[in-house]
Amino acid sequence: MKRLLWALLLALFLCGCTSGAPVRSSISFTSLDTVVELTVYGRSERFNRKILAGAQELCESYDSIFSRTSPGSEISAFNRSQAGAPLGRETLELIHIALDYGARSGQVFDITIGPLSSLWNFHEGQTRVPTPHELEEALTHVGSGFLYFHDDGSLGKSDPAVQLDLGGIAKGYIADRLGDYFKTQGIENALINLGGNVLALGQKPGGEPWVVGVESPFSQEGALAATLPVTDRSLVTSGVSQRSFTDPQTGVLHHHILDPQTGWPVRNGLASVTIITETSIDAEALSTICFLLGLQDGMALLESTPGAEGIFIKEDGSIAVTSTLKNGYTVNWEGVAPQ
Amino acid sequence: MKALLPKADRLLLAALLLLALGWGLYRFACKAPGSQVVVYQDGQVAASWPLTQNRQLVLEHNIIQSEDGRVFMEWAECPDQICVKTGRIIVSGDMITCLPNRVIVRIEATGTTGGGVDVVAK
Repeated sequence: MKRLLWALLLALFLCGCTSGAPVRSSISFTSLDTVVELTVYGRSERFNRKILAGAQELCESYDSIFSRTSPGSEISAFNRSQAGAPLGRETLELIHIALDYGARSGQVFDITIGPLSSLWNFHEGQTRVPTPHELEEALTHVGSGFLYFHDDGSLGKSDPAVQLDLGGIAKGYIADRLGDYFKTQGIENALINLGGNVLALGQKPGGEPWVVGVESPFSQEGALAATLPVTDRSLVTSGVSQRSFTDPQTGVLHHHILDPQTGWPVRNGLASVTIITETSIDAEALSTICFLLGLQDGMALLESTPGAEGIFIKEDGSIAVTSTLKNGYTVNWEGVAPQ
Repeated sequence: MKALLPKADRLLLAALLLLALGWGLYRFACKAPGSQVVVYQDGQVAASWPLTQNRQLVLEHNIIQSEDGRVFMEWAECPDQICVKTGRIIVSGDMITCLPNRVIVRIEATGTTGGGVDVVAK
């Protein structure tokens, strides 16, 4: 009897050891004009909650700085100003990175598309197509040539109507900062999902890679085009299905990826581009750039960018991927079909 | 014939085995891909997650909490507080509605998503 009681105690002790495994906790909230979902694995629910609350605060503070649509943000103040307004260190850092991407992409990526974004107003769910005259007028205020840096590093603009829109890059920057925050808090396994922009930190606690699904651009019900096992990678998709509307008069689908040269949503046969890189800011900028460049030039850019992978899905349902993606990942194609 | 173990020990052993079996079944049931918590805002899916996950969803005017397979409206900025008074829901098909804020929380049987995917890029 005594011996068995000892065995029972030992068994209970061993059971106790397994509860040392990390606890999974998640939070979802609306911020950054989308639904944010954060999942962390940490030592206890209480500990995780504190970290997640901190992450939510971080998200909201970035939203209040970078947002083009909230009147109190630094970007709004700059956009309203005649010749520029004071910008914080992080805003300037983000603008420098964005301008670099603009230069690298032959200016297809342009953060001065603010006047066009306001006109199309995908943010408010508007369904009105701007007139050619309106677009022409807006285009005269688009171009990074209107921006200049003062000697003290602050940003100025040479045309009062110039407006910044960091929507094509800010979420990537914020996801990376959230990742940094989690790491400083001792979190090694986390999923950051900013409205479909994913940053997978580390891997699953068991040592398996995260499995990330890539949504098909043709599905209304969230069917997947592919699944990829990833470790420490960000996946960002630019596509026609997000933030878009169909013109009731012409039946034409207008999506949010605007060509800064023409002012119209770009049409080049692509339905979506998904980029896989280590940092989310690279994935986000490259997904917009590759969508704007089209399949051929976008693919060429990715092939010459170390560490960047891409999945291009065309409107006809065909798929093209970067050459190293085929070797480095086991992609499970779920089948993609246009409507 | 003399028993290998005294009667008391055999009883204890049986009890332990039963306990282990019960615990195993409980863990298995918890891990089975069961129901999803789906939150709708203005008719759109704002968020969804497995019922087995503990999670807090913070919306503009509502806070929804799922804990140990139960879901409840923790806080709501609305005059009638009907949603908060609804209490906990646990069964597939159950619903909490906050009409003033156009928020619906439902437990639904697992549908198309899932399939071992941790997160979806879109």
